Amino acid sequence: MKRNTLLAVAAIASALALAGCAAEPPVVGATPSPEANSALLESQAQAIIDDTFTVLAAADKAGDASLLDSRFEGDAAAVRAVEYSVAAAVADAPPADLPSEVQGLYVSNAETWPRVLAAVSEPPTDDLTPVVYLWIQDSVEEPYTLRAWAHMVPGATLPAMAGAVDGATQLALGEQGVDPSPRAALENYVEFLRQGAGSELAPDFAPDSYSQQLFAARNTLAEAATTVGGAYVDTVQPNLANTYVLSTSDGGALVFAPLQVTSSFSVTGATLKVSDRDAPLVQGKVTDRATYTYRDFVVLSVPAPGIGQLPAVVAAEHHVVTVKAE
Amino acid sequence: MTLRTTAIIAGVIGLLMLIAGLVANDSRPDSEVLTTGTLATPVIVVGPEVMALPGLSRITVTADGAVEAHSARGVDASAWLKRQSATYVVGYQGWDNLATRTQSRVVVPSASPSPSPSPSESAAPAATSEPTEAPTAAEGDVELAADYGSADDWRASWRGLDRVSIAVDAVAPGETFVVFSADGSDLTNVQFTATRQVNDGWINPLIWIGAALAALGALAALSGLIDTRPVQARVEAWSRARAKSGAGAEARPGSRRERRLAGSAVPPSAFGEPGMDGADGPIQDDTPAGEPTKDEGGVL
Repeated sequence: MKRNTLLAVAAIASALALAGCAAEPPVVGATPSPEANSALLESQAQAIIDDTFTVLAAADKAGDASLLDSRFEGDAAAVRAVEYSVAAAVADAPPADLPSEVQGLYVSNAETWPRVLAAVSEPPTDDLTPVVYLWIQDSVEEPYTLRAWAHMVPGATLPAMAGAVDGATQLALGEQGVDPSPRAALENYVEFLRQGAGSELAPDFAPDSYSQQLFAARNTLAEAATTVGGAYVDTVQPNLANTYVLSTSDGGALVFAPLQVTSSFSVTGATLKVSDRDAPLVQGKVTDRATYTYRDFVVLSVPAPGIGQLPAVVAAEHHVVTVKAE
Repeated sequence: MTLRTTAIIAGVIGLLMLIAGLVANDSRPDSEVLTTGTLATPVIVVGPEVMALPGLSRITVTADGAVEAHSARGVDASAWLKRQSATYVVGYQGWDNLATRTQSRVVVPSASPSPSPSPSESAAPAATSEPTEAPTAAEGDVELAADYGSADDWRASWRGLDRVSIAVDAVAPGETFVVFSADGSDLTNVQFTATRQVNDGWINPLIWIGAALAALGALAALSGLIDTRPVQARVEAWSRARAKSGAGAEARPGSRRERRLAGSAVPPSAFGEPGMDGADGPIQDDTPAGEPTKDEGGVL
């Protein structure tokens, strides 16, 4: 009996010594929610912007568009390359001044790709309006690259957007939550550009200096062509595959839309003279026909339903990239 | 059972308690625990649910060469990891091991660093533990960094040579922690540092109480070996002597002893005697005044 008691006591003591000291390792529980839902924190977005302008400064200094590859793509790379070629051939035609200081960031909260990052710069000079930049990331392996930029239309106001914590929702072109849908608004605006100031679609959009300048140039060239017995034709095409939409804070949409504009001027039996600034862009030998190709970029604000505002272009840029003798 | 026997039993129990306490004290685990795992992939991933484990304070990853550590949104890390061979730490497997799973991707080795993929018959998983043949580095060769793609989606980044050690608090809650070797070689080890709760509050009381009981039992056991009869005789003699002191002496005036010797202060009642109803006059006390009474109250 006494022996059994001693054994029991010894066993209890051993068990306490071996098993009773340390708690079991913690077990994995629920996944905590991230503090920020946006695809980029403000620091990340600023790092991308800083790197972009570091790359731009190096390319500007060398006048070499190949140095832009890591942060420029698409129309932005093409337009800057044209500006370098013009600057190299023409005095007093430097590349556009693109300010690196930004006053506003528009970050997407998308969980898929492509993803959008937009920024609004400080005004480059007192005479120029701020510049709207658009970066796109095509996949997780690819960096955000600058795809386009456009100066703001004088007097325009960008709508309020979600901050860098929540991020703005990327909308599909056919999004039905806004009226008209981003796709309908863009296609109607392009049709308005095609038809001119007298279009029945004109009342659907707030007046903007981009369309006014386009119509003014069209009238001037058409009149000049008619005067000499020639012809002038221009076309406007949206690039829907590279158009991106962000939601605004009030339920509207901000549409970032590249456009391709071609202007063809022809006078039978004549020899057309291209301006000195456009001469470096000429492909072929221009005689009686010249076709200018532009890579334009417009930022179209589609207001939220029910607030009684019209869709309006808030930023736009008109870049000539080639002059072809055809 | 005598008092001595009881004390001896308590002493034995106390001795066992003391031994158990000392053994427990010797094997008392540290509150800070390091758990190490071996790695055989170039990437290690710690998910946000593991980063949130209570007590986990630091993660250290070692490698032979430059190491990069990053945090990212979960969806971004998942998308990036689809193209990587990685070890996922999914929790603890006891305090000595980490629970992990490995994801391997198939890569096609190419003989030269060409941007265009060339077909090969010997495709093999990148995460294989077998050493793979690699071009021998010639003198002057530059170590090529692995192409992990864009770093734009990393929310925070750290870099180190041969190791990175990151406080868990430095990674925002809900973010995935990713570490990889800069040159694409396999990482060496991962080490989790955690502070755990040690239930050792009972060890010191067990030691002290056990020691006290053991000492008591030892005293009881020793008392059986020592002849205490002379001491007991002296004590008994002293007690008797003290009991006799004061016998035959005069009672101190006014003391209780004097009053007791003088008899009861309460006179005995005379039931059935005349005058009991109060009509025949006062009660007569037949007891002679000044006669002593017995302790029982009777007349001597």
